[in-house]
Amino acid sequence: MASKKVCVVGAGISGISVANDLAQAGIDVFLVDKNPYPGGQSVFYGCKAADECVRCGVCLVREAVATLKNKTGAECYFSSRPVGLRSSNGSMEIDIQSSANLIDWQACVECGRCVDACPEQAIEKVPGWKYFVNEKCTACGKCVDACPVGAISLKRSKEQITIQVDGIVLAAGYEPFDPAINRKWGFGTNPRVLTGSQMEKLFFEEKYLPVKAQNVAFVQCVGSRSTMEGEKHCSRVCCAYALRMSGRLKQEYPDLNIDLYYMDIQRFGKNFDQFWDQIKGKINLIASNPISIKTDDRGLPVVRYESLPELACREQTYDIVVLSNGISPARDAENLADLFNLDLNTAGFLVSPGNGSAGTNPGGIFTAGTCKRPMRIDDCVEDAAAVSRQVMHSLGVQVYP
Amino acid sequence: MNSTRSIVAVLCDHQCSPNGPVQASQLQKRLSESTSIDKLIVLQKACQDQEKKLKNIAGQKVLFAGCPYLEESGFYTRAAENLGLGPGEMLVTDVKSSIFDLYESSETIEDNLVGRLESLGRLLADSVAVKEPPVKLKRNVLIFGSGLSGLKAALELSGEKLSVDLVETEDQPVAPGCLAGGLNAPGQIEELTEQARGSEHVAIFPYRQMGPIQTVEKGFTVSFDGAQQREYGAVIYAPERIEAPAEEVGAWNLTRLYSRIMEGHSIKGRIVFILDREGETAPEVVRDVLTAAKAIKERSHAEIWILLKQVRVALPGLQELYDLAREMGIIFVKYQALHLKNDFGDFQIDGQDPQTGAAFQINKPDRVILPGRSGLSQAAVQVANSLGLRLYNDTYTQPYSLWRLANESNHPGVLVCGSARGNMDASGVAEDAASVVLALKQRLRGEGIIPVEHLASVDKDKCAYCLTCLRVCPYGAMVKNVEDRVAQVITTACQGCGVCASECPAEAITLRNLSQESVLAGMHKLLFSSI
Repeated sequence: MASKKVCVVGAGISGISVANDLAQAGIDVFLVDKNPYPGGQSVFYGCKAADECVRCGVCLVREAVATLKNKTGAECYFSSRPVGLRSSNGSMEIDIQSSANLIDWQACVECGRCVDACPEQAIEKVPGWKYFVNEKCTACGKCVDACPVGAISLKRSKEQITIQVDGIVLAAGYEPFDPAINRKWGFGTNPRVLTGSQMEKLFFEEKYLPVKAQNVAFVQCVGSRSTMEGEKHCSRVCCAYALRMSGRLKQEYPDLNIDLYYMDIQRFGKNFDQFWDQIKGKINLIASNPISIKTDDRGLPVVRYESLPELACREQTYDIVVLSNGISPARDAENLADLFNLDLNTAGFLVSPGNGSAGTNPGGIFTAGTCKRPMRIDDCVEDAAAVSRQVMHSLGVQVYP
Repeated sequence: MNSTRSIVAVLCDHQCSPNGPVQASQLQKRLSESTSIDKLIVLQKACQDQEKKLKNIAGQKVLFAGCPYLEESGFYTRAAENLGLGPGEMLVTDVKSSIFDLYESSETIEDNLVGRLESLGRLLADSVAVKEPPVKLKRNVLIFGSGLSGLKAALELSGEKLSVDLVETEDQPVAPGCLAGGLNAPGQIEELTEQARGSEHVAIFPYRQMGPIQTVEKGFTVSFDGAQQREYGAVIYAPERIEAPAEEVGAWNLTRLYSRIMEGHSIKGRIVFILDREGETAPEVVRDVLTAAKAIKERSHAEIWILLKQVRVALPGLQELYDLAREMGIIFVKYQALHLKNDFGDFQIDGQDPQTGAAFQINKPDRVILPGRSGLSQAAVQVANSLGLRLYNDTYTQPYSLWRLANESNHPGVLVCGSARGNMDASGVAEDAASVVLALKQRLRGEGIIPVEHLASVDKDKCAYCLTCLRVCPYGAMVKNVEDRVAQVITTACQGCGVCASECPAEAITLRNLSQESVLAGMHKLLFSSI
């Protein structure tokens, strides 16, 4: 019997976990991602362990990426996106528009000489994976000369490939909410107002705070539970990551004063309890959704909020304000829904075609991860396991040998 | 095992490392003089055309000495596959470029390396036959608990043609109408029970007394009610969580309310739910509360108040449920401080609004509902202890790796499923059961079982009870023994990483080697320890 083929769209944590599981069961996997590297959003998150592990799950992403690199024989199409789908009695043909990767990841031996050679810092390393070229590249060609194995070529070309598959798993992921669309947050005008996603990148680089700071504020529910911004759903991750980040900051800078503006603290799952008791004494919790964030004469952000105990408006100046931005549906969710003939729910996420959370349908199209609903990293890993089980079941692949 | 194969060393020249080519040529000279190696092949420009050259040496034992970059790019693994080599027949030394910087005299390195290669070659020739087949566990599974999660897992497994025994303590009726299966997924539990009873692969039976669980080579043996020992390849722990009774006289807990609704009683009058009273109510419980309130409102003209400190919406669909409840006329009140006066069932509730500070009062409600803390029953705790599972907060089971991946515990063949891992709703249970099946696959193949080679042990006399080890252990495998004032190792959770041993200021922790008899483990150590 010829082995079954499955195309996984999206190489974030969900997509990679599905690909790893399926490949282990002997299914040929094609992995398609729009980025030139696997890992998606969460691969550039930083570990938030303070005294002990707070189970943010970032290491799970790196582990999954390393497994993909070392063990899984998935065929990867990076810088690619699906453009067409035709189906006929059970098997599907999917068209993929693919740009050639500038660094051939299979030939690359990770010596790192290209990074030293590049004058523009255009070559970046992905944790657990290899290198990729970002948009700063000017095609000067210095890296090509530096590479000892000839893995780099700077010719950009596009081609369209058609592959025949038996099933498709959509793991298209999410888009972090962009607070610039609402001017009350003051984001984009003041460089001292950051988003949680930007903080994650700083944590990844182990810089923590970009400037010297005395007072830091976290503002919750930015782009979540807000009818005005069109995002009515709760993003499920922001309370946890803001608290984890403040715990880590508090360890880095013990004198730091951290205020956290919240509507309701969403405690979710048992891992939350573990650090909630430790952290809530260390920071000031303020039950208020700020009215606006303005800039004062010195360029510092001023948070104007309604103080509930005093029933009055108050203003507080901070050195850094972090907006805990939520999870919004992927930017191309509508295109994907059109292409794969799926529905979107009121929040704009893909509706999984089956009844259960691990969706399945007779058409052989499955959804996994944050394209369905906001999820944490370990949720994604578990969901991926459930989805891959469903895929195997529908393809008739025996899970046991 | 074909022991007539000759040993070939393959030396990859170090094109990628700084001092590589010079050192490689010297090394090549020394290795060619070595007696234990029959043939030496040098791959020039190893990274490019190596695989062609390797075809010439198919059918022989191979010793690779090469640059680590190649190892990371999976070259050796691919080469071994092409040559059809088993795990014991291929060895890779990691000749890291940093080694060359460490030693001043290059001769020392060569001595070291040549000596190591020679000894490896000898070891290889002697002990290739040690290669052990992976342990295959027996293909039947024991599931503790016949709630929604147990039934789901049993049916998933019976679809894979594994025989499943589903057991439940006798005082618990088999498949009780548990909370998750009650209102949230109506009729599901009965349907699943029927399916399970109809399946030839599933056996459901209650038991009164359980013998000790013994680990044998291919799984576990247990005896129930003094009967014959039964042998299982894997155990799934899926007990029910039980809600504590309401703390006030005359008040109901959620379970009682649910059973009343399910029995068809109509509940009328003024009904007050109080959330967040002691600690914070989990969002899954909030969902149960809202579902119950909705069900009451649909069936009778009741006036429903829900008092809470915080609105919790972090579950999918919970926001919609809140909106629906508000539309149906259920009254939500946020409170700051709450005082409950109870005169044998006659309640008076005094509260304070957090925003305005204004006081409010609810007089003589017809029914007060206080959701209690839910936890594992005494029987379930006993089973967890005998399986070597660790309890977290006395309510959830928490083996170290539970959060990382599907339901795995450190104990080979023991998996945890369902609400024992934390609050879980019906869709969560379905997801969980599916991922348990995937994890079991690895276990039954013998893939997921990684033998732990080292184990930390604490010298009680030296231990100063500073608890440094508790803080540094990445697996949460250290606990404090309050009585003896020493640190203690949870052997099932310890991974033998040695962080505690290196951090312990009193040097009280040592690593015990568990598998000294295993030649392969020794070779592994020899290979990957620094020269």
